[in-house]
Amino acid sequence: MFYPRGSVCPHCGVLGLDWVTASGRGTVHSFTVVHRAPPEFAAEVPYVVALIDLEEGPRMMSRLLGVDPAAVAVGMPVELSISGDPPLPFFVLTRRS
Amino acid sequence: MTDRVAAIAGVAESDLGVVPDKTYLQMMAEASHAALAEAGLTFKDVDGLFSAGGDDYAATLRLGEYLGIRPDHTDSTNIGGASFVAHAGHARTAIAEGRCQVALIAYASTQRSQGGRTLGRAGPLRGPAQFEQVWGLPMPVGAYALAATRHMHQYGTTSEQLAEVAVATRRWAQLNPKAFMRDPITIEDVLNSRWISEPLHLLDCCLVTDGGGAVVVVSAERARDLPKPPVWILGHGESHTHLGISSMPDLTVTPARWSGTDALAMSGVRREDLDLVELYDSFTITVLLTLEALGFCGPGESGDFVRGGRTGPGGDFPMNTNGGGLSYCHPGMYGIFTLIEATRQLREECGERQVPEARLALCNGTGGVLSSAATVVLGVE
Repeated sequence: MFYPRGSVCPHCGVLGLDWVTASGRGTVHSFTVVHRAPPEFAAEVPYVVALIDLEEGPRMMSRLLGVDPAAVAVGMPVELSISGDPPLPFFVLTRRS
Repeated sequence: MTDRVAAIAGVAESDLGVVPDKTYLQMMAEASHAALAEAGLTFKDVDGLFSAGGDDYAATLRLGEYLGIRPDHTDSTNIGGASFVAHAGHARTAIAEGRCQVALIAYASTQRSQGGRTLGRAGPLRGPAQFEQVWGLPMPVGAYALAATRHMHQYGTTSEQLAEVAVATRRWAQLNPKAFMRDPITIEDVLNSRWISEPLHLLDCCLVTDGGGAVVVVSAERARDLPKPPVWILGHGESHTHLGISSMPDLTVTPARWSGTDALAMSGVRREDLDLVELYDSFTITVLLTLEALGFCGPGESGDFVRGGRTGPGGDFPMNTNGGGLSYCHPGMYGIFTLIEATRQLREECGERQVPEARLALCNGTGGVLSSAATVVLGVE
């Protein structure tokens, strides 16, 4: 399994691929708190861009919403939260059950 | 040294810093002219042409037209800022195969005067990059920040250890009249400089300057009667692992792990025999990761390795002796300056910043977002 999509598996070279629906659960592999942003994002600083390790294996970049940047740590559990227009796959910290 | 196939015979910079009144082609031409003159050569002698960057799809086509060169060997390989170190290796290979005798490697950029560093990429979303660009990661610094956070998490590396790199490099810059930033800085200055993309501060980041350079590589036959001592290319290697930072297999391992292994094995030089190293320092974290990837210390040990200013003037591990991309000059693709400085050190032309009895040097370029690496080992008699 890999992300983003392509027509060949970069791990094994196989061409015949299927889609897998991910659970939307993952953990923070790494993150940065952005203070100097590209121009179109400048009004939003500071914000947290993270690399998320999905439960299924692949790693993807996203932004963590609704978090205190100072409280984010590597290894934190996060879950998908699609929002915005156009809708984008943001992540939020997983609520303790 | 057993392997004398190709040698660096001339090096030069263009104007550096803020160059508002010249095009990048003019700067490449001026640097190339000066580098060839050092070797007692002219544009007419060049039969191998190497370049990357600029605003055309194939850098050597533009440069060849501009300089009036019709090469027998051409190479516009662009793997980011590592390109020119890779070109040095390619030039050696081409010369070994008899494809050319006089190889010219050139680069210049006016990114400072053109305001080219916007932290983001203009244009439509396309390809795998569309899955990154929408999140507002400032590029390239944000990608390096992700690597830094991960290294800190895995190994306990600290901001103070990253700052050591910036401070030691600035001390070298103070000894280089051509360096852009020469005021002394302390670890506290680095830590107190404003955040760009945590955990990287402003002073963890390279400069944005104009500038360019050229390197002339010649065959052993041509190297026999040069005005300056030939600097032999003893070994080289290159590799890459990804384009986007999301696809980097391990955020703490750069492809210098493979390019360095190949370059050192080919040269037969042991790490402990090197007198200096010139490592592309786009950010302080780049240097720490590169030191580990090249095997100068183990995984996670680079923070301790650079402690106490040992990479600065007078230290036992001279590194980035021109002041690096952090303090000397950084026009976008810095790799060529590692070759220029190592050559000058090995010729003992570096005045106040000269490393005593420098005989063997290693240069490592890093391109993209820790994406590519190229390494060469250089030596003099």
